[in-house]
Parts: sequence; structure tokens; C-alpha cells
Amino acid sequence: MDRLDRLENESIYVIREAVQRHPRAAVLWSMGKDSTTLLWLCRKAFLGRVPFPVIHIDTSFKIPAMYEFRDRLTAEWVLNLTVRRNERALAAGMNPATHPTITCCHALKTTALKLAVDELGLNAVLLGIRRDEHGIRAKERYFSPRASDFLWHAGEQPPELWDLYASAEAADHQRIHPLLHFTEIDVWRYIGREGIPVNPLYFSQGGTRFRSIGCQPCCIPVTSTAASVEGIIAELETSTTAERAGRAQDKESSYTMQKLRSLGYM
Amino acid sequence: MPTPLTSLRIVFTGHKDHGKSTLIGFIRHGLRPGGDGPGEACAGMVYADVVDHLREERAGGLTLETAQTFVEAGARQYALIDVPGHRELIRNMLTGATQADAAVLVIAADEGLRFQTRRHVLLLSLLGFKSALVVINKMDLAGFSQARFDSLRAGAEKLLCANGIVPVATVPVSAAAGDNVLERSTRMPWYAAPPLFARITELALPVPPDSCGVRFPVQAVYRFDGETVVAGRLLTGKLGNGQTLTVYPGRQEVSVTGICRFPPDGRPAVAGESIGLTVDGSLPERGDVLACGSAPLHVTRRCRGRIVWLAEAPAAAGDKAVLRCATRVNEVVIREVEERFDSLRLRRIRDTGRLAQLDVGTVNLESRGRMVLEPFALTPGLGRFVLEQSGVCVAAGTVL
Repeated sequence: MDRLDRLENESIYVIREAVQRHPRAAVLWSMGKDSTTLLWLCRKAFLGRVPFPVIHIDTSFKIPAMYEFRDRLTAEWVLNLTVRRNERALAAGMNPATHPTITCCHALKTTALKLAVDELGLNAVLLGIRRDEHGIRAKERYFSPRASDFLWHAGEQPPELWDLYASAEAADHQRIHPLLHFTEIDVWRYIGREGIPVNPLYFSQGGTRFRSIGCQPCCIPVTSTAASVEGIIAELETSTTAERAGRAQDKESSYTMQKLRSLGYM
Repeated sequence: MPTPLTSLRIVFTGHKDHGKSTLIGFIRHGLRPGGDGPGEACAGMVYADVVDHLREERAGGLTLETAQTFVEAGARQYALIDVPGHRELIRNMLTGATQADAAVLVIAADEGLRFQTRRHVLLLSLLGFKSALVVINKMDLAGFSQARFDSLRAGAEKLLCANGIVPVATVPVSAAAGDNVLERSTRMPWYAAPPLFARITELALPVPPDSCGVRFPVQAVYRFDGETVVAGRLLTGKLGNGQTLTVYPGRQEVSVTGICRFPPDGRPAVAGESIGLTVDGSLPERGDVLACGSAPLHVTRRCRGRIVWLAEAPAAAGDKAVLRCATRVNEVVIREVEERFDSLRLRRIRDTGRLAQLDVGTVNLESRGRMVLEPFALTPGLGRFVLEQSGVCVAAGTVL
């Protein structure tokens, strides 16, 4: 079995284990390459279908091409899509232009997710985060139990031994991270091998492309001529800049991601 | 650069402050600068920051939580797994070590073998590691002395061998300055063997055990569009259409009528694959194990296991727990604590009756229902287990 097969089969195992042990599960989809790969792996795990809700936490500030991509794939893959927004915060004027990134991310993403978990009565949420993406995410578990306050206490997580993921009966819900062992370049190699559709924003147009996509005001494209999956892989093989270098969120302070994640950010 | 065809996950173990994080940080930074690390290379860079990303870790100069970072070299990708070296954080060390294919033991030349060095070696042995690479770090603090290196190497080799672990090589390094990490150092001319990373690239890849035929723990049964699919991961052996399998513990027979994947491709399945099966015969359920081959599976109500006890309250005969092995769950009682290992003096103590927090020992477990197990040495996936009390993990263990 080659390496991408190993990664794929481990992810499928985690997804099946999560859904078997937590029947009220849902998957978060941000329309980026990672969570789209996660949806593809869910379809593999359940032989061509995603038999649970697919949640888009919509800040309403996403790049327009992301909404187009969402609607196209939802129809093509017959997804049970649920769009959730923190309407109250939006009505009160929350937006990335007037508020610090950390405040805005927390209100429009974490709080919106909290509302969705409550309203849908979820006991597991699948997310496409990867260890290689950020030093704080490098410390995550596959199964990460959360109380209803959503807090994540890095350093005080329960042990996760082999593939015998923690039961955590006392938890409000579990965050499940089936892509934890993929690196950025692995994701692109896997996308290339499997032919997974990805948003055109990732490919170079006029000398720039997005390496990480999210809210329009907070994502800056990088200089690149990579116009295909193969081109991106070749570029990443020699890149020395961080994947999330174009994200405003990580620039405010070295510990912004830790703060966001300890408050329950995805 | 070609796509690496294989991967190797390596855990760096050892006592606190012996330089595990710094070593990983130096390797990662040397082979793949930037990325998710602390940023651009600069004078006075703290290599440990590559893996120590929590504010508390950087402020305290220690690792609290296990982390992984990745490098590629040749046809392989390496996941470098950092773990804390503090006694209080053994659960995080176990979390990192149970994800690893191979182990490195880091010993600081100034401090030598310390208590957690010994405990980590005992735990590596419990977790089934058969070999380890030894690093004598901080050689700068020992004046790059060959005599100091030789004496520590002898001590490390003795400790590993006493725990059934083969020391594959011992390398003298200074991680903070990179001596003998990626390249040979000029400061230890007496050391003529390859540097650490060259030794890492020589480590053997994990091979799935293949001696005992098919082992397929059932993870779930799906009913989609009128079709019933038995989902699970094939631990060992090969599976194809028409094969007859025994369902344990009931011992009824089923025959495989299809291997299901998405998109469908009809290929037979190999060890490590998460697949679905359609079968003829009575339907298995989660927790059953489908098997065939020369050796039958153990269906038993009693088992002997080696465990590390993690709960604060000690373990004693009569204690109840839930045993989880592969996808099967059994309620068990600890019938006897047979022996306890003294990791400091490498002794076995009999008739102790109990295991305190972090003790390693041998226990006899009894279950009301039937357990489906195999010795860890034969089929790791059916020989490793956790014990839980009220949904909280209290022990990790292997079947003897």
C-alpha cells in the first residue's frame, strides 16, 4: 500500500468510527481544498454518499466564487447542505473592516458553529484541519472532546491511544479531525490523484492565486504562476513560506490561533 | 521531486529537557525551512519553537502536548513526533508514541539516564517497539568527550536490551548547534559513523503482520439503497470475492460476495484498507471479527495483559472497567495484579496487589461476555486495548 493509500484509509477509518460512535454527526464545509477533500473521503467511507448534514458556517464575507462552487458541488454530490450564520452579530454590524480579526472570527465562525451544534443537536462535528497547517493544530487529537462552552484545553487533552479514540462520555460533543495526518502537499497530491474538484481561486490568474481561502477581506493572494494541480505541487515542493501566510488572523500576534482555538475556533 | 511512496512516523522520547523538541526543530528547519515553524531563520533561533507552539510551552521552555511535524527526504516522508518528558504528562507521551512506527531515545550527555528515560523505555517496550535509535544529545556540555559518550551508550544499550528493545545505533549530537544531526560534525572527529538523519533514513518501514491470514474487525453495518454492507479495516491478509470467512465469536460462516469501494473497482483488498463487504450468510455486527487462515482466533472470557495504569486512584483486584479492543467492547473485572515493573531498578515485583498511577504491570482480566483477542505480538490490532471507567481512559495495554 503506498503512502496516499495509507493516509486515505486512515481517514476513512476515523470518519466511520466517528459516525458509528456519534450518530448525530455533521461535517463542516468551508469550500476550501481541505474540507472538500474531507467530503470526498466521507463519500468514500459511505460508498458514494454523505449520509449526514453538511454545514457551511457562512460569515457572509466569503469570496463570491466560493458560493458558486458550493452550489455547484451541492447539486453534483447531492449534499444535505445547511447554511448557518450568526445573524444577530451580522445585524449588529460585525465585520472584518471595523473589528479586530480575532473578534470577528470568533463571532462569525465560532459562535455561529456553537449555534449550529445546539440547534441541530449534534454530538460530533467533522472538520478538515491538518497538523501541518499550523503549530497549534499540530497538537490536536483525531477525537477532541468539547464541553458546551466549546473550550479547548491544549495540554490537558485526554490520551488518544492507537486508533482506540476516547469515548469522552461526559463531553457535549466531539470535534473529529480525519485529515490530521495530511500535509498541504499531500492534499494536493491526493486531489490530483483522485480528480477532486477544487475552487478555481486556487489557480493562478494574472500572476496570483489563493493558497488558503476564506473571507474576502482577510485573505491575500500570493504571487504564483501555478495554474494547475501539478503546478501547485511543483510550487509547494520548493516553497518556504507558511500556508496561512496570507491570512490576516495569524498576523495579529503569534498566539492569535491559540486564543481562537482555545475558545473553540475550528 | 517525486511523490514520496512511503511514510515513517518516528517518536522522540526521553527525559524532560534532554532536547527532543530542539532536535526535531533542527531537523525540520534544516530540511524544510519556514512553513508552519517560527518563521524565517534568524540568529538565536529557538529550534524547539518549531514544535512548541503553545504560549505556555515557549514561556516555560517545555513541551506540554505532543505535536507532529513533517519532512520529506528521498522517497520517504517522515512524521517527527514530539512528546513531553515530564512524569505528569505521560498520557501525552503515550498519545504520541502509539502513533509511531519507530522510536528514538534522547539522552542528554550532561544529565545521563534519568527517571523518565527509564520510564519511557519501559513504555516503549509495553507498546511493542522492538528497536530504537539512541541519541546522546548536548555533547557540547560534555566537552564532546568520547569517554562520556561511550559510557552513556553502554548504559542506554543495557537499559534497552533489558526491556527487549534492540539499540540499532547510537549517535552523539548537539542538537542546538546541529552537530551530527544532518551532517557529520567536525567537533567529534572520533565519531566516524553516519549522522543522525542518515540513521533515520535507514530505519525499517512498518510491515503489516501477514502470518495468520485474514483479520477483519467489523466497524459498522450499512444499509444503503437495499444493499447491506459490512464496513471495516482489513488488519492482515488479503480479501477477495468468493472467500469463506468465520465470524467470531459466534463461529458462523459467511462468504464474501463483493468488495465495496467508492468509486467501485472490484479489486481484492490488502492489509490496511478500509473497505466494505457484501456477504452471504448470517450478518455480522460491530465488534465481530471476520477471519480465516491456519490459526483460529482466541474467543475467551479471561486474558492476561500488560498495562500502564493512568488513573489517579490505584488499580486493584475487583476493579471494573470497559475493555475496548479494535471495535469490540467488553465489561471486564481485574481478577489479579500479578506483577509490577520497577522501571528504576528494572525489577519485577510480585504480589503487589495494586498498580499506582503510571505503574506498568501484568494483570489478569475476566469478562462476562466473550472477548475476541490475539497476542499483540501476533496481530497488534487485536492485541492492544484501552480500559475505560465512566468513559475515561484509565489504562493502555497489550495482550500477552
